[in-house]
Amino acid sequence: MDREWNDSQPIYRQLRDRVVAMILDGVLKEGDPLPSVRNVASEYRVNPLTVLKGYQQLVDEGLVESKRGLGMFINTGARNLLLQGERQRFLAEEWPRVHASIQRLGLTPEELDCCRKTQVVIGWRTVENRGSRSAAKRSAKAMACIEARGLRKAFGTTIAVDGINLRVEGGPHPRTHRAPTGRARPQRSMRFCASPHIRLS
Amino acid sequence: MHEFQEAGTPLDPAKYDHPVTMLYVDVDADRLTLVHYCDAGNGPRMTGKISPDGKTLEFDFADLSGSNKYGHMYHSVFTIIDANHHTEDWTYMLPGDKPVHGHFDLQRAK
Repeated sequence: MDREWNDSQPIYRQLRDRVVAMILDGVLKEGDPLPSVRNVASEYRVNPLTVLKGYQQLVDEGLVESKRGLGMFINTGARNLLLQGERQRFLAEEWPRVHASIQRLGLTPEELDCCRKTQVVIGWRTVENRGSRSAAKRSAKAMACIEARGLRKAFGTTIAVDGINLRVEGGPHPRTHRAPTGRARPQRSMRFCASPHIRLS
Repeated sequence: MHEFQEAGTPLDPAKYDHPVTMLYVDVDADRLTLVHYCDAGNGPRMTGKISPDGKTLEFDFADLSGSNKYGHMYHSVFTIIDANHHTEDWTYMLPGDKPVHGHFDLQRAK
């Protein structure tokens, strides 16, 4: 856990939020014990009552169970409970704003889909795709187009694939590939970036 | 003025939990008052009474300045055991009137 605190809310709330993040990230698993109040207070230099308050919040939310004489433990189902809460909060608070922006800007599902991270690295006969399946298909088509045009000429140009503009970026690849002749050859890397809305890399 | 601070803790309220508690005598009203300036963004005022043997000071919540969004300190008891040893019991009221108790056994560092 981070030892820095901010002024946006009381430390006990920040402590509670950090434990919640650890549960969501899987650092603290169901059935795991929470560190003792004394240890947390000592390690993070906070008042033991502050730690108790943070822990009490977790108990009240049903995420943590206090076992007399043993300490506090993450409840079974705590992660699902948190996810459920976070999903509800997203749908109730964040999604309406996002949805309104999508409507206002007139964004289509295709345009939203192409915003997903797409990265293609062309090395020495090496292709690496990251992103959605449709993005991978687009990248493959773009590659064929680039190879037909010639690698050197393709850099810095924009290629239209399936109605989406992909900008071809390139540069020396950090790794090198040893060609069959035994000579080390520098690899070239390219990133295909959808434009004009968002630069993806 | 009594400043609650763990030994060796740097005085940096931005980085460390550092509530400050002030005790003062309200001469006009002839009473002992405690104010706990808390990082919850408030300063609850508590009124004290002393036990007949003079060893226990108990403070009850009187009123609050600042926000109650994150709850506030509600009750405290100081018990003097000897010149080098005393205990403190604090009760914090979380939102929804859920109390949290903390007991501190404090001995003078040698």
